[in-house]
Amino acid sequence: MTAAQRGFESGPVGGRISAVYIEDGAADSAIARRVMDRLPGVPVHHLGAGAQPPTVSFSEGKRSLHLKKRRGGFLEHCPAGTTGLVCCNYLVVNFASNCPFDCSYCFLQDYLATNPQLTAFTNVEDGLAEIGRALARHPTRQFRIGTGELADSLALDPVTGLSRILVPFFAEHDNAVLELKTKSDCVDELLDLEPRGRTVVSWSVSPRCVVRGDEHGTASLGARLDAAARVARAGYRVGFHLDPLIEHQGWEDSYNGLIDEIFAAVRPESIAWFSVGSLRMTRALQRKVRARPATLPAPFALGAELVAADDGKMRVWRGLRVRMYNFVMQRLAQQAAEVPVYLCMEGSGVWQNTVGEAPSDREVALRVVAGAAR
Amino acid sequence: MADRPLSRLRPETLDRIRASGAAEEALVELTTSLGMSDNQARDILDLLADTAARHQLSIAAVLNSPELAAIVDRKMGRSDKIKVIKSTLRRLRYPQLTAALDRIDLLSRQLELPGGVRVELPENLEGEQAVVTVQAASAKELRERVAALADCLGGDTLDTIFEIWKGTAE
Repeated sequence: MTAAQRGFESGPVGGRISAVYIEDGAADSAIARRVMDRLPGVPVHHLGAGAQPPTVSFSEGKRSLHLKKRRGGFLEHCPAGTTGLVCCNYLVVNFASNCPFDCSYCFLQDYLATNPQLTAFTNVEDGLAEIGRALARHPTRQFRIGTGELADSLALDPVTGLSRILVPFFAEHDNAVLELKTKSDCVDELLDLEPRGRTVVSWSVSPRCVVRGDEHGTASLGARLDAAARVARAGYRVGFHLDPLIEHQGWEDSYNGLIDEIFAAVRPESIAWFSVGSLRMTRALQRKVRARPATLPAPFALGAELVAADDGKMRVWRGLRVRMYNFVMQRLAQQAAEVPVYLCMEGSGVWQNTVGEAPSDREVALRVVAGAAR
Repeated sequence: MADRPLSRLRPETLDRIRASGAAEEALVELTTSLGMSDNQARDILDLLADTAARHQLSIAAVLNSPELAAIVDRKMGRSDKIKVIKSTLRRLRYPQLTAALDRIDLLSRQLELPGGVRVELPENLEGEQAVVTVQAASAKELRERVAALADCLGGDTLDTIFEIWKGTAE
């Protein structure tokens, strides 16, 4: 079995890429050549420049891959940096759009509702040039840049091999750290590269019951942690995002078990950072979650005690959320006090009740980047 | 279901009822016997779906829970019954939040705030600021009420209320 096949077996509801659409002018790119090489037998359709594949539903959009040039910028500030929230000054670079996985709570269901086609952008060199210019303009700033905002960073890696371009690029830049964030176990492409401390591979992790109930098509928790151990042995720092924390009956035991499993798999010295963030969703997304086909177990995300917060998003109500944060952060600190932990998308009041301080955005960013360099 | 008087419901709401499997008949009975508006039916369906997910049950099982079954059989007005059903579902859907609100309500009464004084916490305890309102018709009355308020807030009760709200209670 090839790495490509193995990667897509953990794709959406066990599906695979059933068709590839290539835009004129994209076929000669390194990404397109690799996709063609690694998906033999998959029907390929050539499209004129700017033409779109047939309109499909959100779930159908995950089953075919559109290869095209990205028009417009690649690099942007993480949208989590909303006014009023303490922010880690994260930048996101979009080399792909949508994700082959099918998490119940995924914001892309709403955000990409009108543009759901799974897409890999082929003009990666333009994105790297844009990053290079940003790094050169601010040589004393330490950047943290991730590819996992509108896509899973590694789910498509077995077919695109994007990491083989990104990791060497960042290895040559001393003022940036690349974060590859995933729910997959697709790390084969990374193992023979030299990250030089400039790439952190991170996993969004949830208790096993939540993986089963809400994170359809993703790698199991065990497979994610095995993959983390493999990349740690290969010289990468790894990160873990306990985000979204999903409140459910028995959440203390679930998250206790999750944290034990993380530290059984990876030594604290290999961990660059943890982030912790509560489940949040817009009302529109909540309606989409309710409209998903009924499954058992039902999505834990739907049953969490979510209420409307000041920014209009639904969150677990404040007191319970803070209790969850304190529980998880105390457990992490017991095992690895030296590893930085930050909260995602929370205001200074919640930071104060959780961490005991409300640091500035810049301070949070510096601490997290330092985690990669320990 | 087609011959039941469900004309007040929008097609999307009817579709949700039709898609509810074993709960369809009970939902039709509930919405028609109480003459629910579309908004009321959607609120109930949302609460049922979320409660079922929370407890990893089917919607039919939630409808058959002793808490709900007792209300459905109770004799009361249509509007009151819908309110009680919603509040019962809300307790099942938000067990920790409703317990926290109940506890805060009890503690607030123990504070014995003076007349003309209100302390409001944010809706669903989600937010950072409490609002204190002191009504007074004169400077003298304002001074008296603020002094009385200060007297009420001296013990641990107020701290406990804030700890429950902020999530810092042990």
